[in-house]
Amino acid sequence: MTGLPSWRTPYDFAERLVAPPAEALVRSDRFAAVAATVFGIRRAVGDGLNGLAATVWHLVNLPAGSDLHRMHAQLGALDRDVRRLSLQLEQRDTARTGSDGR
Amino acid sequence: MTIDVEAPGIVDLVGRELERCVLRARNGIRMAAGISRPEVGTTPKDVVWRHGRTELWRYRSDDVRVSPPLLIVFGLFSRSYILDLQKGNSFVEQLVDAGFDVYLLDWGVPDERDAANRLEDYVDDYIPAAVEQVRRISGAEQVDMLGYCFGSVLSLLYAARRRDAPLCSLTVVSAPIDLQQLGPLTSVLGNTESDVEKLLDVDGNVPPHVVHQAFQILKPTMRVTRYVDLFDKLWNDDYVTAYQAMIGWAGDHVPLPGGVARQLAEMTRTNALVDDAIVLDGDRVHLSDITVPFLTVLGDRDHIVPEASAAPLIDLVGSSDKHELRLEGGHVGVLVGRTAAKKTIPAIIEFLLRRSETIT
Repeated sequence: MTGLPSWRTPYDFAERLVAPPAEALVRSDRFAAVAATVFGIRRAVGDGLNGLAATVWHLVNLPAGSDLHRMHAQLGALDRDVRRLSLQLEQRDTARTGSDGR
Repeated sequence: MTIDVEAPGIVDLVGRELERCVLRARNGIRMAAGISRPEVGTTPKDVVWRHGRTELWRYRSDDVRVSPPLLIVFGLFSRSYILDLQKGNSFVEQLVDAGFDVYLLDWGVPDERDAANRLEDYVDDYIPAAVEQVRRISGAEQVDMLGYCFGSVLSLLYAARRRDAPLCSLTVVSAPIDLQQLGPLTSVLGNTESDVEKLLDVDGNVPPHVVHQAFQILKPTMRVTRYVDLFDKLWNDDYVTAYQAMIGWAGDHVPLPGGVARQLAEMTRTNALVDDAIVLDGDRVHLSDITVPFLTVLGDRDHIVPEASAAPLIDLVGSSDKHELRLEGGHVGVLVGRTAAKKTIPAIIEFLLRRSETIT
């Protein structure tokens, strides 16, 4: 008794048959190229729609979503610089305290 | 005669199947209604340091018997509760029970403020700060460090870049070293710079659904097989709980900072970790500069970080006290589940204990 129901045997057989070529396919360069193209198309469509929306908002003198994202990115970069600086200052303080202690 | 012998067996089988059908229906309704969500990450812990989205957790223990403390560095792609999945199925819990003072560095959920993050942020700033915090809190001179998945790469770069790092030992589990062996995500990243930009969301990060799809597609038949397995064992409460916890985690990715994605693309193109071509902040980093006692753990059925990706590491590290542990298991299976509890985790604990002191 294996404990497996009878319907599992054909499923497992089919799975063993299909899985290796399917896995080889997704790891192939051709698949990577197709995936990159799909991402590219999706991105291009998204950018096109965003650009259109931005034009409409700018016509009525209002900021578009893309403007806000740009501002978020700039604030994010600033936030990152501040975080890194504060960590580096902490490290310098720790090193100084350590050398003073010795 | 044969019929008489088999008759009770058939009745038993029918009875068992009927009972299982009822249990399947009950568990199926519970799952569909979202009633029985298992609790994850339940080992008691405290946040002992926080910076941005990053947190350093210390797991509570009244019975710390081992020094130095152990700092776990998690990866950037998923959530760290996989290391503390459920009571009785938790890597962290097993370490705490073995007497370790366990800390975990969790990167949180990156947002647009982290989009420009690069490997240097983690390797040069966050990890050293966390190590200092662990030393301050524990009073220990050194720490043991353990990296899991991409956390292994961060730990390796930290140890290689800081030759004076206060490390007693370094353990890495499922470390992706040969990035060209990883499959669709790095294949897409590694094509051209513009391909990375196509993957980024408006917040400047690679969105979690892209990371999720990249991992899902590695095993194309898994999506069907896991439902088949679930239907088969839906009557088993323990299986359903473990299934929900695991599947919940497997689909619970976090955004990957865009800056790191760009670096990964470059590292994949040059296969930088294998070919000794890693450059951080303008400096060349050599894995051969790692000289602390070293253990690398890899699973032979790991489909996310295949053996071919993790295997080159042992020859690249400069430590004289270095070991490789190859185990039967998948990416998660090396640290989660029954095999991990019986084989991998005790082996890691033994490696660490041999290089540790017992606190009396």
